[in-house]
Amino acid sequence: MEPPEPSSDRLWFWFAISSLACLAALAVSPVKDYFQEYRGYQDRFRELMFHRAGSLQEVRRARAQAAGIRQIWIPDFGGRVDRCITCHLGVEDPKMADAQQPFRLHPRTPHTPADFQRFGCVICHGGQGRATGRDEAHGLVPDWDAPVLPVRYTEAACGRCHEADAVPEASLLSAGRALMSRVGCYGCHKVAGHEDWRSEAPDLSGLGQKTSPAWLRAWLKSPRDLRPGTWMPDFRLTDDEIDVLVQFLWAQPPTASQDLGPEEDPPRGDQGRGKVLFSESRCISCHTVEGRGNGSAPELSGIGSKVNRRWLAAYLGNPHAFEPATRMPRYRFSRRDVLDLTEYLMEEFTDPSAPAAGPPLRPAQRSFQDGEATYKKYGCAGCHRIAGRSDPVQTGPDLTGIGEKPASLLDFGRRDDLPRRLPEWLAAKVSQPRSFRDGLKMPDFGFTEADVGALVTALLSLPREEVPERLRDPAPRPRYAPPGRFGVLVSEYRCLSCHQVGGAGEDISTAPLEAEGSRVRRDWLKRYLLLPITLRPVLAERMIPLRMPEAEAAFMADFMDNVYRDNGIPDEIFPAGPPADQVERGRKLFFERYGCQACHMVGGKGGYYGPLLDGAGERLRSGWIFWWLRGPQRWRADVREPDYGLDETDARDLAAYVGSIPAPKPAAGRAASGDPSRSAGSPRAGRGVP
Amino acid sequence: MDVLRALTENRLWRSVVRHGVRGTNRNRVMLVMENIFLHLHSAKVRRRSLEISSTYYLGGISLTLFAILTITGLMLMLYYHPSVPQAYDDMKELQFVVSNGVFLRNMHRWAAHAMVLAVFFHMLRVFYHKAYRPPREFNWVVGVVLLLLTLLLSYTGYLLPWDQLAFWGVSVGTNMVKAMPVLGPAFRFLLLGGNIVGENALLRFYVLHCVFLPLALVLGVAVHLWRVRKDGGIAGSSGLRRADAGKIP
Amino acid sequence: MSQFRLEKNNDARAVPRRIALIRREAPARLLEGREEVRMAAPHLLVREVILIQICVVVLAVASLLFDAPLEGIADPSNTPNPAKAPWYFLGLQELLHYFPPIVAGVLLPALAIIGVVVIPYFRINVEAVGFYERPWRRSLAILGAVTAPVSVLLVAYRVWAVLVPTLLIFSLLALPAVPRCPGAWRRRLSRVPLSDWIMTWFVAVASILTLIGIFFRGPGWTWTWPWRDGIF
Repeated sequence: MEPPEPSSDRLWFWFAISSLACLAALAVSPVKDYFQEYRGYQDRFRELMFHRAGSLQEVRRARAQAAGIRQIWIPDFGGRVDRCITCHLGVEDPKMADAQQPFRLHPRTPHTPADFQRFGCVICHGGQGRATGRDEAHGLVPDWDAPVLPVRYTEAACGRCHEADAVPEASLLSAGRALMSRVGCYGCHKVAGHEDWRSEAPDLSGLGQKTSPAWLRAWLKSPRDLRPGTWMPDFRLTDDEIDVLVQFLWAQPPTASQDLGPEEDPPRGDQGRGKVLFSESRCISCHTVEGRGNGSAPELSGIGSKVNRRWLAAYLGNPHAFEPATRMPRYRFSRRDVLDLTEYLMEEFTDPSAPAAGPPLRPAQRSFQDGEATYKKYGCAGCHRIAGRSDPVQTGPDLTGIGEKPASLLDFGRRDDLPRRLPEWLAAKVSQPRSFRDGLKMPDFGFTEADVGALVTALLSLPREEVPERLRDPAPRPRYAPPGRFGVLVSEYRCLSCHQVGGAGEDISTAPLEAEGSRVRRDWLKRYLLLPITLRPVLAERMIPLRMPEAEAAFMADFMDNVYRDNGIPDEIFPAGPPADQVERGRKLFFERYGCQACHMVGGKGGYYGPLLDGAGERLRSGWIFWWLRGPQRWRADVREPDYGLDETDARDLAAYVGSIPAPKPAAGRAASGDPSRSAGSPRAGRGVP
Repeated sequence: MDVLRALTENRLWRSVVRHGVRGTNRNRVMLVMENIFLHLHSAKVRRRSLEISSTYYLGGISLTLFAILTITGLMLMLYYHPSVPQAYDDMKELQFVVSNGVFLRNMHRWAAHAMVLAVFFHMLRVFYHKAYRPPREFNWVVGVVLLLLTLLLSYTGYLLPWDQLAFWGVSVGTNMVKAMPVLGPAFRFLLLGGNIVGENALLRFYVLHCVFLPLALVLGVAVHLWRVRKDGGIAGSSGLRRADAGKIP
Repeated sequence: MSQFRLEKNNDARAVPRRIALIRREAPARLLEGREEVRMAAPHLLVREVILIQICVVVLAVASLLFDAPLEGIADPSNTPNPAKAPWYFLGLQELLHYFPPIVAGVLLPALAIIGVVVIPYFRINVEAVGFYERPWRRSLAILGAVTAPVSVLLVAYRVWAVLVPTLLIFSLLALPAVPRCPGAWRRRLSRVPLSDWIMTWFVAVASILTLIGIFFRGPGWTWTWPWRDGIF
């Protein structure tokens, strides 16, 4: 037998040490695994449940609450797994309405609590659903691109599925999207779903006959100084750039239709009559004057210092010849009307600070070319058109997926003051577009803080990863165009600048026209088209008197009477006139039971929030009144008239009374020539049906 | 001692282990010779070959790391699907839900890096000790092949998490292959199962990493160890010295 | 050999001593015949177990302290800058920065592998006699003649990372040839065989390139300082 060596014992000693060390080292991880972060939250929540338990059953439930990971699995969205509810344990528990986070009840929204299991959490809030640790779950780790969305931008999440510009119950998002469309983001940036965006910026062909070089120079230097509230952004052009750009724009010839007529100054008109015409034509239903008015069309103060008198006269005669894409309808003004209006606008709406017309421009070929390069460089053609040119549009970066762009891919440049996060970057980009680096081209829009919040929300809503088809709520793509001669007239009078038909058209008027024939009587409609009366005194935006020929009014009334009908709405419920007893019962219901006079005016008395009801029987079909009273929101979801849940008898009686309210002749006459300036300052109150 | 005796002196124990437990030389020899795993060792070894400076235990470290990699790798395979994007999600599941998942993945990752280093240093040690001299020439060649296999194993495993690091690391690497004349693009196509690093590449790398290359490495290691034993045990720094060269009797 | 008579016989009494013919470069097994031995169990086995356990402990501690990296999900449309291969290929990637792909990606690695494989089949490697312990002037001249154009090539391609270790190691190799070299240096350096010089050069170049690739290369593969810009 070999004698034990001296080193042998030492060997066994080290063997023992290393064995122990090995066991210890391998035991650490399971222990760490057991004491995970979420356990602490779950313990605290259990305590909270005990604390707030109101019954023995709830105590039992709290006791039965086992520790462990909880998750929502969404198999058809890429197998997403949201484990947020491992710690956010009270989101569905009404008792936790005032608990501290992470246990607080989720506020009610259109999707909560109904859709918790369908959607999970990350789809709206961002973050890393699979994670079970605090920082990892909130996406505050470098390897996760989509950290939790700040609460004030949460509406951005609505926009991932709801692709329409207007999203109900998401006002900030809707405002942001409307703003994007209005200020022309889509002119420079490609955004999926907005390829058919149409700019409303003026056509630049024939600019030389519209305004003066001095004005144009001042305009390009700083548009907002010249006209506060304009949508034209400030490109911070250098004086050299402005000079060459003016040279370039000045040389653009007018199109064939932009004809100013015979080469002489138009005769002066009557300024006083022009002022009356301006009021009567209700220009501020669209335009603003010193900020008052609807604002869907340009501000008019200062127009006299901007445009050429000849051009204005020709334009008012036929706006569509000069701006084929304008929303402005063509009024059937007489030549005298035009001259009087022109006189009023040129003399009344002057801007003393506007630059005086300088010497005529001397064309220079070199400057023209430089100007053309500048025009292309800043992507002016994204919004403006010049006949006969096809300049590059959408010269800015593609915005598809900007809402989920990893912060690591953003160029922060010299903005070291910003946290390295997407929302902050976007806010800085839209409010100070050129602050990141030299040589950036995005102009300054002068957004207010509220605008920035809305825009960032809208931008954050542009997803990188397409949401599954099941969840998508695609934007309606109205393709309806009124047919035939009616269509021609609708286009001529630009009805769709205010009204909606078949989803197409703008939203200034609250009445969609699809069922207009079922609603109003044909004869009244014809009269209304010829001379619109005021139905809703509270609004500044009113139907404009277009001065259309009688034959056209008759044709349009006939068309709507025959085509724009809804078969679900009964035609006439009192073919022989409303029976007197029902009228009497209806009067009682109207004044005593429901107090309708609080909002509606009858015989000069009552509220002015709702439409006037004098002569309602001449205007409205009795079937429609009845149908309307049974549920106003069927007409349009945001109608303010309350749904009283009337039964059939009450509705019939009320309809009988409303249909029998007489029309006082003198009042109607005054309303027709109503004074818009008086109501111009009144706030734009709620929506309803005139 | 009685407990030990009761435990070892019964039919069951003797049917498994044929030698006694007492520290006699016979038993010690039997322990090594009768055991399939230990019989690669000779019953007696030179004292100098036990010294750290003669081998730095680099071969042993490499083998140990390979064993750790095999064990942790097999456990990781239980949680892994070689498909896009499930592979990446599985990494997250390992991190967040699987018990000790992070620990397992860390062990596997660091062991893989360590093995590349250990095998490389092992080669250097053998070179500077001139342990490649005849009759060990062939074993040196086997060793070089094992080094390449180790690199390939590590590289194929690099893609499996399917994160940015993996994707671009492998893209850069396979683009180097493309530079090879004539065969390059074809070889790359074969390796990736396509022209881009995509789902096919992931599956291929997975199969290579979990089946082909480990099998090849095990075979290679078997040959390597067998040859070490047949060529007279490890050749430490005590190999032929220049000064002793003339003293051969 | 003529003074020996070779007889083949297995009878131990007739042929009391067996002889072996050993080539000069054969292993030293016979020399060690009288060497001290130990039982494999427990001396070797326990050491092996301790080794395994130390490996496990070191790895476990490392795994507890440092998490394996995991970045965002693979995104072919988002190229990180720089895109780096695994660290053991960064030497190659660094070479690719200097030389055309056919050279750096194929030729040099292939040469390196072949060079390593054939080492034991060259007599000079097997004998491993110190460079200055045999006639060395001719060899040194040849070496110098090889090093000079290689260095010129390296300068032409601006590969300082290879040039510096090359020149350094060559000057160390040539140091004993300088008459004024200190004696201690000369004694040590002159015993180093040529194969070791070459291997050392190879290892030095490979490690320097790899380290540069790991730590000193930033966006666009430009030079960065890890302590200033961080490690990319």
